[in-house]
Amino acid sequence: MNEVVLETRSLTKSFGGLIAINSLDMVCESGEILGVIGPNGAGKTTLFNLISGVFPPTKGVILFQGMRIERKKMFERARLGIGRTFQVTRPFKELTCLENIMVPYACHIYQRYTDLFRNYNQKEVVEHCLTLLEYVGLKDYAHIQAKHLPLGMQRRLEVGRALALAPSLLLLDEPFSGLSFEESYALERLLRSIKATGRTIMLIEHNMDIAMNLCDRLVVLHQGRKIAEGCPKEVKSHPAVISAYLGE
Amino acid sequence: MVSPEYLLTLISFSCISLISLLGLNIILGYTGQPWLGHAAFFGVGAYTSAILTKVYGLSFWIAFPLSMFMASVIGLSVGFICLRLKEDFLAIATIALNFVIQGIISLTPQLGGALGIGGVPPPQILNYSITYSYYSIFALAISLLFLFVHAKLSISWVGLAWKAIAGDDLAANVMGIDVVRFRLIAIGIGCAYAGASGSLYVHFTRFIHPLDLGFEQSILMVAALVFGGCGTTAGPVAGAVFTTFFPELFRFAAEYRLLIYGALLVLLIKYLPQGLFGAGSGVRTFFERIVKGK
Repeated sequence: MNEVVLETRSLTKSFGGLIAINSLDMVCESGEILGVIGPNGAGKTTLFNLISGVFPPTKGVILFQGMRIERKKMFERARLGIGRTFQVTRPFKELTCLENIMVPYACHIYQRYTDLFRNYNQKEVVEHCLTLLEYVGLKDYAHIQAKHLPLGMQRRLEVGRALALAPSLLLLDEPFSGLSFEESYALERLLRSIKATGRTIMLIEHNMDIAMNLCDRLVVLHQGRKIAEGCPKEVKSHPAVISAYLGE
Repeated sequence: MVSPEYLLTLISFSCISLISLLGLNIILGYTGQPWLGHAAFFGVGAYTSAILTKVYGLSFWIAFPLSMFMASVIGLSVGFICLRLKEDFLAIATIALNFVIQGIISLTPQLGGALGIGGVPPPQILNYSITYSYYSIFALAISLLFLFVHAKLSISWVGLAWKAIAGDDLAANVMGIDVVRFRLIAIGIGCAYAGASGSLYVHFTRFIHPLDLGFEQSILMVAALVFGGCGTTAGPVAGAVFTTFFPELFRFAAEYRLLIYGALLVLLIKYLPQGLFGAGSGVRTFFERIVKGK
């Protein structure tokens, strides 16, 4: 078994009477693409929100590289190395693509009070961010405001922005949603190349073909509970998964 | 025929107003925080400077930074409490604070009460008092200094973080920005600007009255900033020039001033929603072309 990057123990989140995540135990190993799948309302995005710190868990523990993080703030978790994208894209619309990448990168490298007033257009910062933009295929759009990009490019920009944090764990929330075939193909290649660099990816995906092809392992959630876990082939034929998806 | 003294007075008021608007631009324009009581911090600066120089006999050069400090501390206290609550609460809290500060000043005899404070001494340089004619040069020099700092902030890391927060605070947080800390920095600096503006104002007019920091003044500041263009460096300049010179040009319609402001704002929101010098505005593009010689 590889080194564990992320682990949850009895992780629970309830909103009033609704239990969105129910006593979830799972691990994510270093260098893998772990798919999180399940029908609508299964608690997939809630899980990402708990890991990235959008809201605190009701109960349970989240361990990131062996460190308990469930009480840490969002920005602290990002600085520890958890990058994420959103189901509905949330680029900084008025900023250019280059500036979108610069925000997390500057966060990563400028952490002292004296750095606050440094010009962010430093040559080495610009060069690094342009390299990242090139990596996600957006170098030619560096000076275009993010709001003018089509959805596929906004999704790639979000991946680039998360990568600028130099994350150990990348949380991608339905990155293929709404993309054309060509855009999906380009994004799939990008994710494979990110995996090849040794980064760990957790991926929420509705498209089963993509999830089966791309992920090393799958965790299936249904009504906040984990109902199956394993390699795609095993999961696909798991009776509880078939039942959850087909409503039997 | 406009007399030079009159014109110089208007320039002084423009410069003083510019400093206030630059501060408001940092809080409202760059960071996107609903800050609707800026005149209160202008007033805190003005009263601090007036009392320190008139009552305690301190030099303007000591009172000026202390005014900025005092406005900044009060702003930070409000921000510290309100930023942990919902965003709308900040708007309501700043409006309330504006009335509270105005009320406290009006009811405190040591602060001049409802009559205000008069006889505030002018600033001195080498025992020479800077009075009306020269005050415009003095105010212009100081406002250019503040404009320079503002422009530097906009291209600094803190400026980029502010713009990211204004764009999407959740995404900014997830990208590693300590949103509350950066918002507080914006409030601290923005209120210090307001305090500086108030100090310059009171040493120019030599008089301050509670009405000078009323809620109406706060709304006029927001209107001026929206008119000029929120979140830009040129916007506060255009807003300050407009709000100072416009009422003088239309003095014959003084009673309808707020009505005309309102109508202009409606037209602006319809045809130039980003303000005169906001991103994508035709006026801004026109000036950029002139500057680039195209």
